[in-house]
Amino acid sequence: VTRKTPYLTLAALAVLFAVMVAVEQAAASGDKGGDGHTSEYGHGAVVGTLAGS
Amino acid sequence: VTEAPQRTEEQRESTVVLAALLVPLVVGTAVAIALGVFARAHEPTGHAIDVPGFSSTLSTKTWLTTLAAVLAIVQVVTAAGMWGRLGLGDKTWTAPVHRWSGRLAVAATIPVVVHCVYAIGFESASARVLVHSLLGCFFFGAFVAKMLALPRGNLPGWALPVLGGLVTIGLIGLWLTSALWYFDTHGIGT
Repeated sequence: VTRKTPYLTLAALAVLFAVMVAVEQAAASGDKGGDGHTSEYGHGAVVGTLAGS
Repeated sequence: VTEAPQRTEEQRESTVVLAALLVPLVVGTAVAIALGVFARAHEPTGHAIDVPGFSSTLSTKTWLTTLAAVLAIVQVVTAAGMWGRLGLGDKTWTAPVHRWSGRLAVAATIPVVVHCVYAIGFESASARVLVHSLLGCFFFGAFVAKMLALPRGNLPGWALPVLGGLVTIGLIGLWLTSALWYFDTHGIGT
């Protein structure tokens, strides 16, 4: 553990944040024009609308 | 005759303390405000990512938040151990458990907050969701402030426990205003 460790922790979590934003964007754009329930996105997850989930 | 130099020394020390805390607090506040402003200004997509094994996105988020809340309790216990309380011995095991439980707790909340911000946005339709939205911004701001304060060696003894306490309060508050509400309205088995 060094003085850099908290900065590295923040950086790693920021990367995870960016990845999750990309997932959300892909989920949102993947369903454009669809019925909100049938678009598939990665690892078997299914995109649906909040109302339908 | 000796009072004036003593006061000057005290003033210098409090200036050093304020300077050490200033950057973490300013950056943490900026993160909290940016999160809230983006969540408010961004057009919510309304999309969900249904993860296999969970009945809905809300269920997934509820259990991730619950995991984070349990880890927050681990944080409090190990922090007390690190400060010589609870008779947990030295820091050889409490410090790494504290660090990793904290990392995992925040990591567990990131998919949740991204979905909250991106798909739902900052809401104020009821007192619960307003408090939840505010706590979400507060939690991440407080966490960033604590991370930035950690490497600074010239902090007063109360600074890290106070910052850590604020992070924990934010996380437990988030759980109370979301997961507890979900369990209360939908049940634990959903």
